[in-house]
Amino acid sequence: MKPVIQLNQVHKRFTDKKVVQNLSFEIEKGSFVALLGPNGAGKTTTISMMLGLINQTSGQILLFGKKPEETAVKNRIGAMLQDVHLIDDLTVEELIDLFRHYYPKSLPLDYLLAVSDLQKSRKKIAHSLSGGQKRRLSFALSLAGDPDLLFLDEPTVGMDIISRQLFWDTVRKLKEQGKTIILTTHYLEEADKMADRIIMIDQGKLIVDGTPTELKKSTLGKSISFIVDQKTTTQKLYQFPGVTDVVWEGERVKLYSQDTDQLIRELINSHLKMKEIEISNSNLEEAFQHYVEKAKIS
Amino acid sequence: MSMFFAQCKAEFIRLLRRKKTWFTSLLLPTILYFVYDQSHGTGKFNGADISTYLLMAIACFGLVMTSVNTLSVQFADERKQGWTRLLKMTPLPNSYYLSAKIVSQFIINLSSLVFLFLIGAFTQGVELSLWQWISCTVWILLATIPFMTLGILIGTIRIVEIVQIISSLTMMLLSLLGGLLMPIQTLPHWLQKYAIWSPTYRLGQGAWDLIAGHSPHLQAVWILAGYAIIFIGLATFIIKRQEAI
Ligand SMILES: Nc1ncnc2c1ncn2[C@@H]1O[C@H](COP(=O)(O)OP(=O)(O)OP(=O)(O)O)[C@@H](O)[C@H]1O
Ligand SMILES: [Mg+2]
Repeated sequence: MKPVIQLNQVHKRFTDKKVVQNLSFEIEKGSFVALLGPNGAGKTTTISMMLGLINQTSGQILLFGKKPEETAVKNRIGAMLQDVHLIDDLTVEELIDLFRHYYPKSLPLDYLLAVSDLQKSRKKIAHSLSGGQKRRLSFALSLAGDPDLLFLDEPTVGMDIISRQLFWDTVRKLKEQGKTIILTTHYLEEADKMADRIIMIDQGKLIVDGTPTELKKSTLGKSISFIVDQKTTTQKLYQFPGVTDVVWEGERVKLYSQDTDQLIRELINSHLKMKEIEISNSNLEEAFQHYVEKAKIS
Repeated sequence: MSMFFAQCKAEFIRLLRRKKTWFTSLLLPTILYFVYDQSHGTGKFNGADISTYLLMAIACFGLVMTSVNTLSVQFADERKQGWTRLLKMTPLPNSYYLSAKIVSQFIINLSSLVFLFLIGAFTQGVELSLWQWISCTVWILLATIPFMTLGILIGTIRIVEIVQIISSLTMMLLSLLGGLLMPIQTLPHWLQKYAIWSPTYRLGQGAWDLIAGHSPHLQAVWILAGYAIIFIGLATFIIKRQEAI
């Protein structure tokens, strides 16, 4: 079967600034891809090109095997853009209903109001909503046409914890239905939890492409950190079994190990005076830093 | 089709919710008409009663002012706000977006015209045959279309404040030139030669012809259609160029 998205040697230049360089990848149906990268990496630009909002300088972009500007493609995609722009003078439900009319098949109004938790605000003028509510409305609009391919550009910015939970619950269900989803976010734990593939870009170039697990292998592994008196030497800490690295951050020390369960037992038995202990699994954040730094050096 | 209908409905609701619409399409022309009519007394002008002549002039003036202003400012604002960007991602064709605006403005214009004509008939004693009332309404409505496309053209300048100034200024000048605010005969001779080519003059002329008992010149139709095509063609060209980033 054809991939849902195909990018082939895509370049984008704004006047003399190269924003996307030689980007090529394919995305299969049903996959959940997180597009990660520092500010200004070119994520929004890449998504805008895939949506047909701006043209690439060179290279080819195909969605469902067709050009992004074709109506047949637009019928099947939905997107939450990074900046929400809503028309004035229409209520929440009028706006959602208007969008429902744009698509050949659309989801019911009540469902859209429910997943964006806007039932109570349905009669409110869209412009008067709060920032987070506007974000949710924009989510409802992106789903109006029951899209097969959904783009989420920093979707949860400004959403409170409860909205965020509802949002991810809905997105998880969409994923289970076999929708293809492209996410950008700076909350890496979201990407870690949801994505089955991560594409990292920096300065418009692809730096790594893989599953979250693969990416995390690059890091030093799991760690235990705690505050300890300064007399404890690094050397002494290295003597605990399995410790691969010791990093001091002021009074706080961080011990890396593949087996943190064993290490914590040993540490407690050693009667070391530890305060404010934190155990953390290797996370995407470290992998992210690792790859971005590696890309800078090369 | 239901997509286009939904778009028209949304645009129409938006117009109705704006206080400015009510002010510029109902209140302003009415006040203007009363003031003008009081100061001109009674008599005949160009083969028609003065009150009737003024009614048509003010109706034309009111309609072109609001059409150009509303469309240009709305269009510029919605592009600046990124609303059109959001729409570009949906299957809604750009032509639907613009024509829905024109259709809704058309309905507002019709209401404004009917209201003003009722005022004229019932308070200022304007007397016309039913056929004349209807033909004037139809003429003025249709002849305002080029001005709507002019509004879209001006709206392609994306800075709302500038659009506001340019559209008001352009329409003020065009209305003066076309004799909507005072008869074209009061202009200097050299200017009159050009004034007869203005869309505003042709719009007014058609209505004045109708109240004087003959049909509008065919030439007026061609000139107005020509303007409509030029404006929309230019606007399309500019929009295409702006979007090719
Ligand atoms: N219309 C434009 N004209 C000129 N430069 C632009 C334009 N749009 C974006 N850029 C530049 O392109 C680069 C990439 O921008 P982009 O918005 O794609 O980054 P991003 O990865 O989405 O960043 P963020 O995480 O901050 O959203 C930035 O340096 C930005 O300044
Ligand atoms: Mg971005």
